[in-house]
Amino acid sequence: MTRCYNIRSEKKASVLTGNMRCPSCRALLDAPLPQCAQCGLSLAALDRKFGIVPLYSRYLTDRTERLSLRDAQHLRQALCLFQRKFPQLLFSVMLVDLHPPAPISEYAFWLINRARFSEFQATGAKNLELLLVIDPGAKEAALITGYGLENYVTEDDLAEALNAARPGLGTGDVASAINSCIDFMTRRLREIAMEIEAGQPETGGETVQEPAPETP
Amino acid sequence: MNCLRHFLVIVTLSMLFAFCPSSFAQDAASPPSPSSATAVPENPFVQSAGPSKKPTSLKVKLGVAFALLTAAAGTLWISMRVWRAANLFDRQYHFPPPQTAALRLGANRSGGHLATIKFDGV
Repeated sequence: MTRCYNIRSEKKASVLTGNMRCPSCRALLDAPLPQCAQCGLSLAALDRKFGIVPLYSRYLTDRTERLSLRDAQHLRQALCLFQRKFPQLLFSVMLVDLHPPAPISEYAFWLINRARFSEFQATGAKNLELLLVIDPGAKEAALITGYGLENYVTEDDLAEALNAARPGLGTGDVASAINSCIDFMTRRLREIAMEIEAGQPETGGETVQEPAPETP
Repeated sequence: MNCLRHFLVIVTLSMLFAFCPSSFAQDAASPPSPSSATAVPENPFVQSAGPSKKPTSLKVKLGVAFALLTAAAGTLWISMRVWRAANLFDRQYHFPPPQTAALRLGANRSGGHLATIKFDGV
C-alpha cells in the first residue's frame, strides 16, 4: 500500500506552524519560548508597558471617536454577519490612538491576550479570534489571530487582508477600510473552509507516492 | 426602524394617490326632476334594477395596482435586508479544531501570528 501526500500541503503546514515569529522584532522563534531570545519580549513585559486593559466591546471599539454612529452600526452588523457565517470565529476591531506611541504589533499581541474578546475558555488551540487594530494617528494597522487560526490562515493572508483595507485607510475612510478587510477575510476563510471540507489541497501541488515501509 | 418609516410613508402616499382621482370623479348629483302628470305609471311587478353603478375608472385601477406594487416591492426589499443580515443566503462554515497549539511568549490566547501595515503616503 502506498502512502500519498501533497508536497504543497506539507510545505504549507510547515509555513503555518513552523514559522513562529516574535510580534515585536519579527525574529523567528525556533521553539515555543517563554520570551523572545532576541528582544526579550514577553506578555508580562507588555503588561508593564501598556498597563490596564482599556474598555472594549466584543465586536467594535472606537476609542478615537472617528466613526459616525451610522458607520459603527453598519460595521457591527457586518461583524455579526461574519460570525453567523463562521460561528467558531470572532472578528473584533479596535480603533485606538496609542499614547505614548508604541509598535502596533506589540499592542495587538498584548490586547488579544488580555482583552478576552471571546469566551474565557477560548485559550490555546480553542482560540479562533481575529483582531484588527488600527491606529489612525500613527497610520498603522495590525491583524492578528488566535492560536487556533494559525493552522489555517497564513501571515500572507493577513497581509493581503490589510492591503485590501489600505485604500480606505489612506484616504481616511476607516469604515470602508474595515469593511474591505472583513470582506477579504470572509472570502478567504470561505475558500479555506471549502478546501478543508473537500479534503483537497490548493491547486498547483505535486503528488508524490512513497512506498509503504516493509512490514517485518 | 428608518426602513419601516420610509416604507410606511411610501405606502401612505401611494394610497393617497390611488384614491385621489376618485374624489374628483364624483359629479355633483343633480336632484331628480319631479314626475309629470303624463308619466307612465310604474309596473309594481317589475323589479327595479336600482341605480346603475359607475364603472371603475382606469385611473383608480392604475392607482390601486401601483399601490400594491409599491407595497410588495417595499416588503420584498425589507425582507431581503433581514434575510441577508440573518445569513439566509449563505451557509455556515466550520473549521476542525486543532489538537494542540505552540504556546509561547507567556501568552495563552495568541502567539503573535500577525501582519502589519503602514498606510501613510497612500
